[in-house]
Amino acid sequence: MKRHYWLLTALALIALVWVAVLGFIGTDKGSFHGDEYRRPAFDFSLTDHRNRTFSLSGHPGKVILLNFGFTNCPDVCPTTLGMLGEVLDLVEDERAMALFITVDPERDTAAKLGAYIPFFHDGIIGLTGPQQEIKRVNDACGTFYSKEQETQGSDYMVVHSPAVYLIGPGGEVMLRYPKEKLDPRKIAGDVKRLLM
Amino acid sequence: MNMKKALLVLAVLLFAAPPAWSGGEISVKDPWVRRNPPGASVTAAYMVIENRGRAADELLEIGCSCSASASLHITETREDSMAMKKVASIEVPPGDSVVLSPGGYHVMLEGLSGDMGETVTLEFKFRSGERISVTAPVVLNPPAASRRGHHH
Ligand SMILES: [Cu+2]
Repeated sequence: MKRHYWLLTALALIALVWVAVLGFIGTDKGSFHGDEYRRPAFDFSLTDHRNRTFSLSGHPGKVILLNFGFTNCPDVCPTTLGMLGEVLDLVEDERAMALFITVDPERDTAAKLGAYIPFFHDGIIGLTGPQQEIKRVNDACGTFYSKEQETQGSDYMVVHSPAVYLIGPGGEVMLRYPKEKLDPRKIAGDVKRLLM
Repeated sequence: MNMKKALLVLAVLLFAAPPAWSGGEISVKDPWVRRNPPGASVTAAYMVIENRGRAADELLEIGCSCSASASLHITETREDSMAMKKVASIEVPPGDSVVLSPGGYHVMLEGLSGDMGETVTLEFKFRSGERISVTAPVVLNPPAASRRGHHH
């Protein structure tokens, strides 16, 4: 009978060690859903959709999700904005932010963004400003945008990145979510982990 | 009419007639239009176009009472850039269907006339001469029916 107790204790210990090992692997820093994309910390200053100045350096310690788009983009941009709203609802933490930076500042004024952005989520911040500054943010994220004139008429579209970028608490671009990784639950998981 | 003759007529109706009875071979399913956020004068419409016929058909034109123009577009995504392009038509192969969904083919509605209401009417014109009119709900998110099965 006594020997059985020893055996059970040994098995329980082995099981405990396994749980600890698996738990450690599970929280390994290397397993983010987003693609690791370390780029140096940077700063920018733009105008938000309530017509106030927004500087990245004014929000230290926050985890920021950033995406580029424009209000005349009816197919993909609304889908991404809806997804960012879902992430904010899942994370529910004031230290998490979502930014939508227009790549069409000529048409997307602060007032226009003010009508457009809150339609998706109260917590998303729409940003506009000089082309130069918007280009600088694109550079920092390692991407670009360009205006494409239609062959006829004055209408145009803006080619831009479909990805969402995650800026870590230190102000550096840490992760990149390409189109096929725009899953709100998994992105919320990354954000929560960085805020732990 | 004797019994035999009646059965023969019935058999002919059952086996020969169905294609004629089913009307058009092209059908439009699960249409929806994205509700445009305030200030946006453009939006997109999505649907599934099915061709049960034996010949390929082609969607040539689309119209909506809700907008000044409606055109066929495709969103092309490369690793780091995304752009919409106009397409002249969308081919629907025989016995197959084409899905218009976010990030792919869509109907671009430009010059929206204010509030779209709860539903809009979309008119489709095909190369075969077929014309179809459907009522599409105006919604924030894709209806459940069009969410199912289009992801891999
Ligand atoms: Cu389009």
